[in-house]
Amino acid sequence: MPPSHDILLHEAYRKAVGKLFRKRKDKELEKRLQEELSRLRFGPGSNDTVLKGIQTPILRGRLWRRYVGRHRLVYMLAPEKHLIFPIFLSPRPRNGYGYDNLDSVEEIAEVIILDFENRRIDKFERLEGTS
Amino acid sequence: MTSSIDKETFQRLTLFYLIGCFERGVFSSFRLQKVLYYAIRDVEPKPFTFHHTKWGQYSRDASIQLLHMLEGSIVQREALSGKYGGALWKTGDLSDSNDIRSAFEEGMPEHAEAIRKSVDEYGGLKQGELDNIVHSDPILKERRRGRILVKETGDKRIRIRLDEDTAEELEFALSPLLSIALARLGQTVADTDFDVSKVRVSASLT
Repeated sequence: MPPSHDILLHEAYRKAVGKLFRKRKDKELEKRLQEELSRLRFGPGSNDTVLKGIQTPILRGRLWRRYVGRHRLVYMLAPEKHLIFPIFLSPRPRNGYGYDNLDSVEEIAEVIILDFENRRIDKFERLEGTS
Repeated sequence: MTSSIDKETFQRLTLFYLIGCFERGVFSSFRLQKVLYYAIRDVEPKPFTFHHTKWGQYSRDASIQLLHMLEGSIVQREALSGKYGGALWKTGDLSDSNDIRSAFEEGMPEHAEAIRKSVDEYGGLKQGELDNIVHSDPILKERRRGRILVKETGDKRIRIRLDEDTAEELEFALSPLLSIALARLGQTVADTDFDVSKVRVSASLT
């Protein structure tokens, strides 16, 4: 069965994750993330969980979590476009870790919005699925 | 099984749960403030500081959090007509709210019980009755206007009896800024004609 989704990676997300890898010097995590993103082209897996309690109608059922080792990858599904946007990779296992840097998710979302609206194709890279 | 949530999530969770305890929503911000005050007065940690104001027990932080939650569509507010005017505060539709409510009941059972008790005791009173009760509270005589009646407690991270995943979901679901940003992203993606096939294919995914 061919992949069903394109994974769209924005420059801001790539930078955030790249910074995390440099800081942690964790080649294994990097490799694991690449594998998981590649698998994600087939859509949410059976071990992925949809985030519960989301009150905004347009987001219900669209925010998902996938474990990458002990780290958590949060991604947004856009089923009508067969797209997936990775938006957050936890810097470390959640235990004992505060979400002070949730701001970074907002910032990433904001720049994706701007570049998507302005069709700044050069700001994105994709992992092929359906295209 | 314990984990933690940040203080602001704890505050929003408290408000969200309290509003949801009212079958038809909370009639007036005054009522919401007073029921909240009596709910948190004797629990630990306390999510909000309350001051003595000319309206009685009032928490500025609770008002600010409510406005943030309103902006993030986490709660709704309807303007009321009639003698007293004011606002009707409501949570979203039941199925999605229930996930948050049940997480609070499981993770902070004492707080949930205190809120339900306060809602039962004060939530259904007529405006005049509630007004009389809160203004005759002895603590308002003990402490002059402007003084603190209840001070928020707890660290920056609040322990909660939930697994890490559920705690994380609460932080996501109750973050107004995140809700706004991601909702806009969802809408933009849905509305924008963006030719994905022209995006260069990535060699490295990260």
